[in-house]
Amino acid sequence: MNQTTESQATTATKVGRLQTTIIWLIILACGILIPTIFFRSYAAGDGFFLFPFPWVIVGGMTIDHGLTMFSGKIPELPIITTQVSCLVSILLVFVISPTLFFFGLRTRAVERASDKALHILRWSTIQLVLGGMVMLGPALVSIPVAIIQRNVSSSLHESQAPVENKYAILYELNSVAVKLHEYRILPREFGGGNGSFAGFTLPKDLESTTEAQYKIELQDTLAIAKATSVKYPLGTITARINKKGQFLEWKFSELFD
Amino acid sequence: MIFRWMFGGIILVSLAFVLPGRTVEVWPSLNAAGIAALIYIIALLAYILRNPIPVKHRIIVGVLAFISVIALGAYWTGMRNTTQWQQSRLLEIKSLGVRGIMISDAPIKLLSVLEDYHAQGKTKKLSLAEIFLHKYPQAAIGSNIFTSFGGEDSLRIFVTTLSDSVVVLTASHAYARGRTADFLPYWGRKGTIQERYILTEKGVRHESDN
Repeated sequence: MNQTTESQATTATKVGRLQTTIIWLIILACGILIPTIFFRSYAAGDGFFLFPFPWVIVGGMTIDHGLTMFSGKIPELPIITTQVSCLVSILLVFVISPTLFFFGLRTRAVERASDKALHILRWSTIQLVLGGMVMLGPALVSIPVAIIQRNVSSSLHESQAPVENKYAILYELNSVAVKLHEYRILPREFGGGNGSFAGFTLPKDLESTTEAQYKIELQDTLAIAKATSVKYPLGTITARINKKGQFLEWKFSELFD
Repeated sequence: MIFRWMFGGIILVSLAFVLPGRTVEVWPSLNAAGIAALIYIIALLAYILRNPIPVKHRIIVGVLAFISVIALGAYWTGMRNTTQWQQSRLLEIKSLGVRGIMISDAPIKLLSVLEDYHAQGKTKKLSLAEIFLHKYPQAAIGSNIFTSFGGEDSLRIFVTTLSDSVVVLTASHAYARGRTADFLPYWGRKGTIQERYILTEKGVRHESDN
């Protein structure tokens, strides 16, 4: 009798170990297969894809559209396959896998509450593993990526802002050059310098703008215009302008260089 | 029950995805689907996390779900904001470049006319229009006097007024975006850049239309 009980217990232990091994094998297989399926379909190119972060694909399309418009073309409507791929990816990560995972979780709790003998290898476990891997994988990856992306985005904003200011100042310096040239051409009765820069003063709207403050130093046949950024006081541009209003030389401070 | 939930979720998210219609940008559809998915997950959690799941487990799952949603949401919105910002910067740089070319071309043409006009002395034999036509014999109202830097160019500088006392050049670009999307330019697409340079004997006035 005792021998039979021991033998049954040993068999049950062996079955239990086998089931645990199978569960781990399933987890391992899913762990390798799911990312492979996602990334292979993403890397495949134009056709249908499954990608856990469809917003990355859509972001890439936004940049593409920007470049298309930059070159003067009208961006085309995205192909249906791309839209369907985005939708299926969202459904997989945000609907199907959470449903599998949370129902698996609940079923296991209900099963544990009933005093039935339970197999390790059961539907609720597979649900939990499959759903959990598809749902939690992207969520776990998103945490560091979101932090990195935030830092990258803020450094992009910081580095881009002085560049925009620089181009705006360059544009305004062009207006200064036009005014200088015009002044030299106009006779005195029209408020000009009658062939000379002498007496030139910057118009009020150009002396101080939202971008920079401008100062002008007049020499015989040259003028030196200096712009100091209002937004970035360390940003300065100095330009030498000839009597025709043409730029001879530019000097940029380190911030604008 | 699981299939009902899954089916309901698929319908809800798919409907939200198609609701904004088919546009060039997929963001409206994606965002609508994301909001619908969030609502679905909240409802699913409320349904799942009740008896017999112990309170401790409910709190743990709830907190993990909250962190996951925040992380995914941050990644999602971060990607949208960054790419949309980059796109707008690209177009902004294009506009700044185009305005820069306009101001370094059109006023110089007019100032050379003004120089010759005042060089005549107090008695003017030739009007502004005559000097302009002498320099640009092909010019007429509506003609383009911009010389492209090579090949096809999307920038045009049109003669829009040509009289004895006033010459107006209107600079337009085929597609570079201006400030107002509704603006109807002299040439090019709606909402594109337009600058005007007005020459009188008093000088050159610059008016930025869009």
